[in-house]
Parts: sequence; structure tokens; C-alpha cells
Amino acid sequence: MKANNNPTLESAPPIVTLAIIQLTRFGDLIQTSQAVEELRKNHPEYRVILIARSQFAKPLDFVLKNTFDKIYYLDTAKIFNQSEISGLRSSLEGLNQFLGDIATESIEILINLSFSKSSSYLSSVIKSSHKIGSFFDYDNKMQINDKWSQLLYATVMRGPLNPFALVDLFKNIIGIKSTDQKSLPINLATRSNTIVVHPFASQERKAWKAEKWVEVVYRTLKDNDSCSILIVGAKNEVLKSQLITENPLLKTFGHRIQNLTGKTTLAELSTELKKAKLFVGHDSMVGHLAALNKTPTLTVSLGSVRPQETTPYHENAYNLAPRTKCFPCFPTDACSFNQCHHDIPYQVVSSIIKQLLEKGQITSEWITGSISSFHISSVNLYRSHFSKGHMVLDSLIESHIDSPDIFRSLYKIAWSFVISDTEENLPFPKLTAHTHRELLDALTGLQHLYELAEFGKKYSQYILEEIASQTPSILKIKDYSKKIDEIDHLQSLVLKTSPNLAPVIDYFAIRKANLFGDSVVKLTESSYYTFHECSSICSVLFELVENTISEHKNTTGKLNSRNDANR
Amino acid sequence: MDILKDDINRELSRIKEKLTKANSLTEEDLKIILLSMLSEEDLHESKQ
Repeated sequence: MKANNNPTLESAPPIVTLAIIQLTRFGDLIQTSQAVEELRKNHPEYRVILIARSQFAKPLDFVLKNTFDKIYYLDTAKIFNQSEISGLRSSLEGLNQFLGDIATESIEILINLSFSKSSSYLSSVIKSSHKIGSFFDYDNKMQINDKWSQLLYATVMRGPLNPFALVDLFKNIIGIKSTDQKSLPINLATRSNTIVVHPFASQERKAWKAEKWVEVVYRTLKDNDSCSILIVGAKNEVLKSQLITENPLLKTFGHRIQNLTGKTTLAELSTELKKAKLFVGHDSMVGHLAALNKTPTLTVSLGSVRPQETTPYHENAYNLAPRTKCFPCFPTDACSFNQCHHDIPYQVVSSIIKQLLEKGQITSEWITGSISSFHISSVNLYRSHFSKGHMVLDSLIESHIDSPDIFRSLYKIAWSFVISDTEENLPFPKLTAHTHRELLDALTGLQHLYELAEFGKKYSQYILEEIASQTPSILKIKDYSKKIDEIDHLQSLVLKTSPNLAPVIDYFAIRKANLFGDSVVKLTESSYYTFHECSSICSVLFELVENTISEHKNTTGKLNSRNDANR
Repeated sequence: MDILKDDINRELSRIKEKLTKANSLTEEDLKIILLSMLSEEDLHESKQ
């Protein structure tokens, strides 16, 4: 046998191809691109391809082509083009052609980041050595095998308790080890004195009515002599934009307002954002585009928007959110009054804009000294910063730290520790009488969950022992698994008395629905480890809650040597 | 009537029957479900 003397053949490592599925809209595509950008920095040797719907990906080509080696556009207009004449047959041919193109890639890892049913089915029909994220098996059962995807599925858009930005969750799912990166200071002095305003959102509950934006624009132009405003939006928002620009109150400022709604491509909009001093708007793709261009952002979050998940992913992003009891709601919740729209006074928005234009930042001291407590009482203001490569939102109004804020901090520490074995050092949250009581309630709930998980471990072990015995009794095994079903049911009931434990309960419901194994033994072993993991997270959270309560009791007295919550 | 919708409905009934009988699906079945989802999403998108 001859040795291979060709050094190029010997040293060339195989190219690893990662495919990302992101079928959802513009904002999600930009956030996916932000996550993958960091992967490219850490692993330039990987080939990364994107599978996205053409109507969302093509207008964003100017962003996506810088991040991905290749984009496969799922063009449903093309796939369904002949369907009215030849029905399903031609659509299947179109889909097969699309899948055939993707099959030319040798995909090592397929990562589904969109979590829609369609993306899960798409993931199931694409060949890949490994699959991350949701997909369907041949029994039509949804499978999610990796823990970060399970957490995303259990907590994102489920309630107010997910502590992670969507981009960070994407990074964790992909497996990117984030590190602190020094960001260069942005020189805003060279930019034009323009504020880009996007006063619209994909749903009515997420956007103010025109009148409120008229007030913001009026106050901003009146208070800031040299600035001008650029209103941007999509073609279907032109009429709404005219309700603002043609309002008689703004007549005297007409020359300082430019309405570009429906007149720009996304690439042109991006250029405008790059020239501007500030972006102000609701939760939408425009904020994410501003973040890409390092333009400071102020987001007004309303309705079902979760600031922790979708605040534009960059340093010093500001997010103004209402403290309305039902905020954030679910997109399907009925709401005729939109209380959260009334809870954010327009005066707060225009004051923040003025301060950002003049000083470039908002501090807690400025809020206390400059904004009327009458106006600030119903809002929360968050500012982003980066720690260990992940975005953190700090509440700038300390007295407004509510129980979801506290639980999010504790969950951030617990999830990072249990899933990724990483340590988050967050300061102790300050408690009020109300949040103190809620933490005490959570202790009781955690104790119940822990005890139930320990029972789950015990009965899983009984099943394993019974199977291993010389004469296994089917009746006994059935009895034990019935007990495990009861435990699962009882764990779900804890939610009623301890709603702040929803992320733990939902996460473990998904873990149990995705047990590994093709035999009773393997499934039971997997069940044992899942209950064990549930016990661990309950213990970690219990300690965190206890430490927070002790610190609260000590605040008036002794000083501690270490003041982070996970000591 | 929309031929595609008719075809999809017929195929989905067949797939449902398969699942009721605890039979495994084929890759072709999964593709049909995917097409039905995509066409539904397109319809929803066009209404927005």
C-alpha cells in the first residue's frame, strides 16, 4: 500500500455544513442573522446555509448574504403556481425540486429556529446527520431533543418569565460560546439630527393609535429645534402614516417631517437608519435593523410584546414597557380597551427622546429628577448591556422592580447553571413587601415540585428494579407507571398556586414528552434522569429564593462579603 | 372549487386514517402535511 504523499489532500479538513431553518418574518430573520454572525466569528471554517421563505428573506438579502454562505428560498408562490390547474401533484413536484436543491448539500447539523409547525415538518423532510430544534417523526409526533430548544418552546411567548433575549436563545441552541467583546464607541456626532420613527406594528394591540404618536412627534419637534423626523413603514401602513403627518397639530412642523412610509426598500431603510441619531418605535423589524446599524433605539412595548425577548439586540437599547397587570398578554387574548396603551404617557416618551438626543443616555437619577412621578408610576424603563456575550436588560426604575423581573433574574441563573453549567453573577434583586410575599409562595411551590420529582425518581427506579427481577410483574410495572402519570398531573397542578413556577413546569412537561429510548428500560431511565433534573432545578431555585429573602432581611443591617444572588 | 384544497383535504383524511390505525407515516405524507401548512400560512399572510 502506498502512503498518501499529497499534503493538500491530507491536511484539508472536511467542510462542516450547518443549515439553519428560519421560516418566520423579517424580525426573526435579522435576529437569526445576529446569532449566526457570532458563530461565523468563532468558527469561520463552517459553511452555514439558511433556509427561509423567499418573501421575507429576499428583501433582506443585503443583510443575510453577509452572514450566510448560501440561502435556499422557499418560494411558495412558485410551488403553488400551477395548483389551481393540476392540484397537489404540481405543488409536490415544486416542493421536491426545492428539497432536491437542498439535498445537494451534505448537511451535518440541521437547526430549526422557527418553531412553527410548518418549519418542524420541513425539518423532518430534510436529510441531515443531526437535527436540533423541533421536527416531526414518522408517527407524527413532534420531537425536540436539545434542552435549549425545549426551553425556548416552553417559555418564549408563554408568559413574562423568559429571561433570555431571542438572539441569546438562538446562540445557545446553536451552541455558540459567547464571550465579552469590546464594542467600539459609536460616533453619533457625525450623524444627521434625524429621528427615525416607526409608529406601527404587526398587530393593533402592539401599536399606539395615531393621536398618541402625533403628541410625541409634536413635543419632540417643539423641544428639539434642530431635529427632524422621518416616519417609516410598509406599503400597507401608508394610510395610518397620513393620520399622523396630516394632523393639524403638526402643520407648523411640516417642513421637519418626512414621510417615507411605503416608499423605501429595506436596504434603503437600513441606509436611513445608519444616518440617523435615534430610532423610536414599537416592537418590529425596523428596531432590529436599527440595532444592526448601531443606531440607538427606544422601543415602546405594548400588548403581547415581551421586552426581554425582542428588545433590539445591541448596547444601550431602551425599552419602555407598561406596568399593566395583564401585560404582556397573549396574541389570542380578547382585549377591547388596551389598558397598556394608556399606561404609557406620551410625555415620558418625548422626555426620553430629548434626553437621548442631548446626553446620549438615560440614568436612574435623571428619571427620578426629571420625570414626574405621576407619569412614571405606570411604566418600566429598561436599558440593555452585555455581560459574557449575552444581552441583559436592567430596570432603570428600581422601585418598579416587579416579581416577573425578580423571577427572570433567578431563572437566568438557574437555567444557565442547569443546562449549560455556566455561572451568572447577577446582583440581588431588591424586594418589596409584595414581591417578598410572592417569593415565599414560590418556596412552597418549589418544595412541592421537588418532592413530586423525588417520587418520580423513586417510581422510575421501582420500574427498573421490577424489569431487572427474575420474574417481572407486568401488573406492578403498570401500577408504577400509573403513579408516574399521577405525579405528572400533580406537578401541573402546582401551577395554580405558584404561577411564577410556570417555566419549570412547562419545561419539564416538554422534557417528559421527549424522553429518549426505544425500549421500556431506556424510556424509564430517561424518565428517572428527567425527574432528577427537575429536583436539581428546584433545589437551585429554592436556594436562590432563600438567599434573596435573607439578603432582603439583612439589607438594613450587616454587609455581606459577596453580594451576588448565586453565592 | 379549489383543486389544491380538495386534493389536500382528501390526502389529509387518508393520513388521519393511517394514524388512527397506528400506522407510521411516509416521507411523502409528511410533505403533504407540510404543503397544507404552507398553503394555510400563505392564506393567513394574504389576509394581513
